[in-house]
Amino acid sequence: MKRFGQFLLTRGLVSDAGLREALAKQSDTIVPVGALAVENHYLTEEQVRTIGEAQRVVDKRLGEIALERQWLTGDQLQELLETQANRRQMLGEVLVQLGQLPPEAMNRAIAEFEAIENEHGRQLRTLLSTLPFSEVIRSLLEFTAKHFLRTTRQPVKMTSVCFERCLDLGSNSNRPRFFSQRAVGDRSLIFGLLLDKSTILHLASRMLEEERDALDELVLDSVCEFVNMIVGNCLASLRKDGIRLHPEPPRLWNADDVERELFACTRVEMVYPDGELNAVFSFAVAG
Amino acid sequence: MTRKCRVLAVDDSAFTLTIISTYLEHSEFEVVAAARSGNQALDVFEELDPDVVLLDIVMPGLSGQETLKRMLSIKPHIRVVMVSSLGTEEDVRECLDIGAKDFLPKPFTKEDLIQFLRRVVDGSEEGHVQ
Repeated sequence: MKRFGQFLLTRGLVSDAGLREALAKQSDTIVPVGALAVENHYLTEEQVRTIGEAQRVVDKRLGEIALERQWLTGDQLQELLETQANRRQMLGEVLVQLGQLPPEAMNRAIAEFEAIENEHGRQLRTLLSTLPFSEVIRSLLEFTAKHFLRTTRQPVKMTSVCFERCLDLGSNSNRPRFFSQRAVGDRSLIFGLLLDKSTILHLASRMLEEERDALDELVLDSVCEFVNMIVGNCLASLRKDGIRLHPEPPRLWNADDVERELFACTRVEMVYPDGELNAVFSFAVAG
Repeated sequence: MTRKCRVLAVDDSAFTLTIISTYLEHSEFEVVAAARSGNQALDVFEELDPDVVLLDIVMPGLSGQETLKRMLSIKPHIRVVMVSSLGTEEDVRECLDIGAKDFLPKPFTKEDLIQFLRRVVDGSEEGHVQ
């Protein structure tokens, strides 16, 4: 909903301070995943209590422990997280309650925002379906979203699709890193994730089950493995449809690798619902 | 006293080797060596004489399948479990045909790994589990 808030700000319909107050109030209305799981009969109250006890000794979220114990499937957790996002009080409603905007003006703003979002989504889907290897790209995107959800417990959403001559990695120490893997078959394809430092540290901390604060070899290798699991799972799925590609080991590419290897890639930007993700999905047909 | 089941982990990913060692801590399994390549694993394989090998498929240099063949030629009854994110029926069949005992798909949880290893060891005649 941060995107809706941004929309209201750019339209000059709310003030920055008013939006912050409303977002804080909105976060108080979130229904816990455990309660939703019981409501959907995915977990018993006893299981939720057991997980709560486990959480006293390990710093893990309910969904994560439920997945580990195989009490929830990844799809069930995704459904619960989506329900949680849909169930919380809408930002527009909170803004109206706080008197930031009259109901009629809010209804007009919501209608305009939804129309823009729907058109944007339609354009993205159309664009993706017309790309060469669209089946591979869609499958890679699906597994990327699944692995982000599984690892970080947050769903991701596509926000843009475009073509680029080359990715710009920058040169300072906080530059984003490009984790890439090639798959070879009838054609040679390249999949990559361009991630900023905080996203890399967050992913690696979740995967290693301990907080990491430096981009050391193990952290970078963990994210390479994150890419490896996306590509491996995706290629296994594609083989069922008769598409045969063999993965090479993933690695961290430098600017020279990108310049030499990654010509005209498809770039998909992805965000978490709260907007706090800086990830770019890249796909290219190698020369 | 029954000794722990000795595991040799082979994966080019330092992450996977770290997580396998972490997951098996305080279990009846003990990682006796973690090798980053097939060749590195073969260098220590005979000397360490592990009970079980966890072996990645996609690695630079010697592939998992080739490493598996060489291990079996040295020790025909070694229990080798293939570990990979590339879990198609075809991959599983190829590795089982060569002589792998089973196939563990990535990603896996601690519970997945321990239960899987127990099953592999319990299913053999030479189990060393406590």
